[in-house]
Amino acid sequence: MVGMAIILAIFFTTLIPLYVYMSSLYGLLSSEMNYRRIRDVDRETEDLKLLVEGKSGINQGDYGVSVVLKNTSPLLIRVERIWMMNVVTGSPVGDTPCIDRIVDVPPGWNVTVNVDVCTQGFTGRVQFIAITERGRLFGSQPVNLLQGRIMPGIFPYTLTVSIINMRRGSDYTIEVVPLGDADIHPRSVTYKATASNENISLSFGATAGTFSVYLKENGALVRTARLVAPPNNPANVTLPDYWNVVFILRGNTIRPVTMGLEISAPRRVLAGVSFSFDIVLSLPSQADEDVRINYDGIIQAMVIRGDYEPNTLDCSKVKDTLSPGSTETVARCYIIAAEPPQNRTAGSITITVNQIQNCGTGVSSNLPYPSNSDSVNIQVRGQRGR
Amino acid sequence: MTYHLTSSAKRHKSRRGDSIVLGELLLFAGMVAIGLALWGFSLSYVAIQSTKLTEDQDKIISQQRSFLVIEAVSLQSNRVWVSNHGLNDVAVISCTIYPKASPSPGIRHNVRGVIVRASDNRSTALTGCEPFPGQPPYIVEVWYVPAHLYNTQDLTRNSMHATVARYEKG
Repeated sequence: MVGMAIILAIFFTTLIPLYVYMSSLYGLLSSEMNYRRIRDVDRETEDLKLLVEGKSGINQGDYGVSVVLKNTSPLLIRVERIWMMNVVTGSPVGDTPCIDRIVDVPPGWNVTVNVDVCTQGFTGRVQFIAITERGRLFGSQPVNLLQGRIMPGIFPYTLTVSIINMRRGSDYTIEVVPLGDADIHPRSVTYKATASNENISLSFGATAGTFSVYLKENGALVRTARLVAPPNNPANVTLPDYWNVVFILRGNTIRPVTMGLEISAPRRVLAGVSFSFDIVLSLPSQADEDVRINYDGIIQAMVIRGDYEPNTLDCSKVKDTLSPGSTETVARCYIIAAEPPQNRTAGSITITVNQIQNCGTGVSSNLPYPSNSDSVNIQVRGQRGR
Repeated sequence: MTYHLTSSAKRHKSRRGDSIVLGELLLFAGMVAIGLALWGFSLSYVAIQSTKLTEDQDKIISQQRSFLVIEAVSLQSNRVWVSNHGLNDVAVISCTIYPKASPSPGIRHNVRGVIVRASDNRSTALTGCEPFPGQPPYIVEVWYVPAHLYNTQDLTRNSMHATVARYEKG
């Protein structure tokens, strides 16, 4: 009876608790293994593509490199760091991460991260590596950098995009988006028009495939109403069947403005001495184009009266073209002052340039630009009384 | 038939009864003593086994929760950047870089327990790796143990719980 009691006591106080404890430990281990398995499955499910993009600017110097993080998995991917690795040495450039902040990429989304801070001034072949929170490493295709700018690779085709009739001072951006597996470089180019109705053609290295070409004016997509051709913006083009996209913008109306004319001459001259005077023209900044000066028209509009030696006027051209907002001497003339008549001790010369209807011609529009008139009076002091 | 016992016979019979009771008592006491000893022995056995089981499970679970990743390597500055994506802090015990064509040199115990925290989102630069004068292709191996299992007295014992993170270049 006592033995039985002791056996029962041992059974209930040692074996059963041991069994229960072992079971709970096994349960804990199972749940840990299960948790780890879930983490491993999640890690394996992560799928992040890194696409390196270059942004180009021709006349503004605004170029840059960015990495597009494309999440093609059904999970949110949290990128903790992006390294820029030198492909030749296999080492991180600058021995520090390029981006050391968390970037969340929701499933199906693209997130663009600017990496100018690490590419600036670097020349070489690099690869970008993204580290995710779950511990995966995703790499981009290696790209060549030259002074921080992406060097185009070898593309078999060239896509040419032209813009006709640009508006002076406007920024025009061409963005080319490859559809499918096609590739093109650069993806974006910005150009600032320096004259009205200016034209430009730009070439892009491309692979075969279909591309959507967008034209933006001052950051806004150009509406089809403003386009003569093509009928739509963006325009789709398929290489190698078509090599060109030509955006023809509706022409801008150029209105000629009146140029300011001024005679720059000395107030007093000595009789019998040759002196010079200048014809100065100002083209207001409101002008839409450069103006070619009508030199002959200015000389014909010039009237000189007073005490000067006849046939001594000698003028020469100084400047051919004026830009909007500039003031330039366009002609310089020499003339000899004559001795005043016997009854006078001093004489005078009056130089007048009358209003000219065709003082210049618009470089783009070929329209005539008028000028206003000016007149100066020069006192001539005789040599006899001295 | 009727028997009549004498007084001496009666006394003899009483003594025999006492010894039987005493014997039974001794037997009972012996049984209880053996039972209690057995009980105590089994209790201590269970306690020891439970502790051992707990330690073993702790090691297994800690290893399951440890996850170190090698992010980048610079042969020029002899640095290896690692980050901990697990749930436990880990202690790095070895870092080797060797040519891809060569076999792994194993654990070298050349890093004295550099702690890489799990809560950090940052990477840690290891500087004690064996210098590798060659060029890619190469392999980097970083051995680590859960930080609370790191044995500072006997470094070689850390190998028992060590896990390796591997990085291939080229």
